[in-house]
Amino acid sequence: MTDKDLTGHRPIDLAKVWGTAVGQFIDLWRTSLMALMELGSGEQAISAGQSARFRVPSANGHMPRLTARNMVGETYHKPLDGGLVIFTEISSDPGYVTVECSVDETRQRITGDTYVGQVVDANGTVVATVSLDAGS
Amino acid sequence: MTDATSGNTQSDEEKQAKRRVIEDAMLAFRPEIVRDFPRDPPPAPGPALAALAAAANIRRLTKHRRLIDGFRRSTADFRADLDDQARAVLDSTLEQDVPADGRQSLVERAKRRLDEVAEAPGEPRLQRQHWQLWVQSTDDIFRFTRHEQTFEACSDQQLVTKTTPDGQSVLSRLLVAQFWSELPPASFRPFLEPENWPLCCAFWKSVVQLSARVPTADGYDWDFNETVDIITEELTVPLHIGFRVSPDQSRISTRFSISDVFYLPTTEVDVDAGIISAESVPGGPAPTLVKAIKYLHWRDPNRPDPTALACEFGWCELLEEMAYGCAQGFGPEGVGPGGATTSVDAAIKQLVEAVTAECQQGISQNVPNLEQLIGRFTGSSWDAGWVNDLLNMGLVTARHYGNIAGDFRRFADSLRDAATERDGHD
Repeated sequence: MTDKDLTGHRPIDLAKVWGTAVGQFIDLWRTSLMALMELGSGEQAISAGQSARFRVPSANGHMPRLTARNMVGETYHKPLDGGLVIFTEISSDPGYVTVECSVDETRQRITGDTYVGQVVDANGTVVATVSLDAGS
Repeated sequence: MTDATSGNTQSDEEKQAKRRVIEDAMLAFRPEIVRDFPRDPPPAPGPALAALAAAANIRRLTKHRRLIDGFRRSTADFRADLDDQARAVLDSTLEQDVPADGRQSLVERAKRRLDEVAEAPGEPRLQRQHWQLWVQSTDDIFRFTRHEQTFEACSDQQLVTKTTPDGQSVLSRLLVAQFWSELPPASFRPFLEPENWPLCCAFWKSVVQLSARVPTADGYDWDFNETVDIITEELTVPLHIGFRVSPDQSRISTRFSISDVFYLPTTEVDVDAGIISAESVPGGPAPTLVKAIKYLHWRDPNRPDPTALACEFGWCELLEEMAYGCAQGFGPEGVGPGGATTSVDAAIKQLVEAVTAECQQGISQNVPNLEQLIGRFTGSSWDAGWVNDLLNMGLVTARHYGNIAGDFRRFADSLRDAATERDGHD
């Protein structure tokens, strides 16, 4: 690394870095604070497991194209069509989006079960493993 | 049809009487329900609370929850007329060995806390935060078990789309109740098996076999008719269940749904599905989560819908009973005050497992950030975005260290409980 490398950045490059860093500092502070506040409280939202949330790198500031695959029921071991899993962008941080997924039960009758499988991006890279309660 | 289970440990009359007391304690404060499901004579608050206090076979959790719920639904003036009955209910839930002179003082303190919880902000019914407030403010009086401390029910306000056996999509009521336990999932196995539900809960009338059990590699499948009583209604639903035990016994569950084979045009509900489970879940207030999820839909829109009340009238009580090990109990290990059944060795093992899991997750989640960070310096020209990569890694680390701090807090609680228990035995 030369002195020229160190001084060769345009102001706009550094502005982008530090502009992003401001948001990251706030996230870091908020997360640390929440971790302290939740210390030992034992509180968890009562959830039926119908949806799952995860965080993935954003694509141009938006939720990337995601697909569920290898979804199989834990009890009856039946496969679930990955196309029935729907993804919704919940929030976004710099460079990341938080995604919620659930099963669309209006299209066909699904055997009641907890379906476990993977979420992949457009390149086929696994970005999350999810567990979804669905069916009746 | 064979193998009817209708409750060997309690007679049907005892179960009916118990159910009636629990129902009256709710209905007395809910006149709108009595209009739909009339009862003669209609339950009145005073006698209902007096019966609740007198019932020796109703659990402390049930008594406290009904009392708080009833008080929150009442005005201050109305509550004042029920002071004596409320004190009697509270007195009935104190340990038997509390001496008479100290007993009155404890009841008075509990009554003052009850009035505070009744006045606490929130909807005019028992909500999660009210139960937590009650547990925190009276733990020195009642020394609640971990099961009682962490009990949550009922979330029955949410409607979810489910498909009926006829293929129709309907909005079904979602009922959820849960508690955390220091006991391993295997301790709950008897109560998770459907044949024992009528033994567990007064609202379950019977479980009658419709077809022979089919063994699977990790449990069995079964069809049976389940009959439950809800106020004036008796509902019989043919269910298909899958009872499963994971090889390491870390998860035991019963998944249930309406049996397509035995479903009839006369079946009164067209969605009755869900799961009851006990499983090891790291990161909670105790190692095991016991949870019951149910989706229900009443078929006939022209009749009053008792499923709208199913959470409070039945589903909740099943979990409340499970928190005490139902009629059978939990065996010799029991559930001590504050759930202090975990030995120091077990607490250390839990801490090590939890911290190791957090560290592993933290490392794997930081891999992409670290790769990106290194990549910033190995190109033809270094990239100032390393600042952002470092901060992302800091965020992941902070999140996991927060969880680890929670694990240490629980470890400290376990040590304190173990010391308290030891002192108590000295």
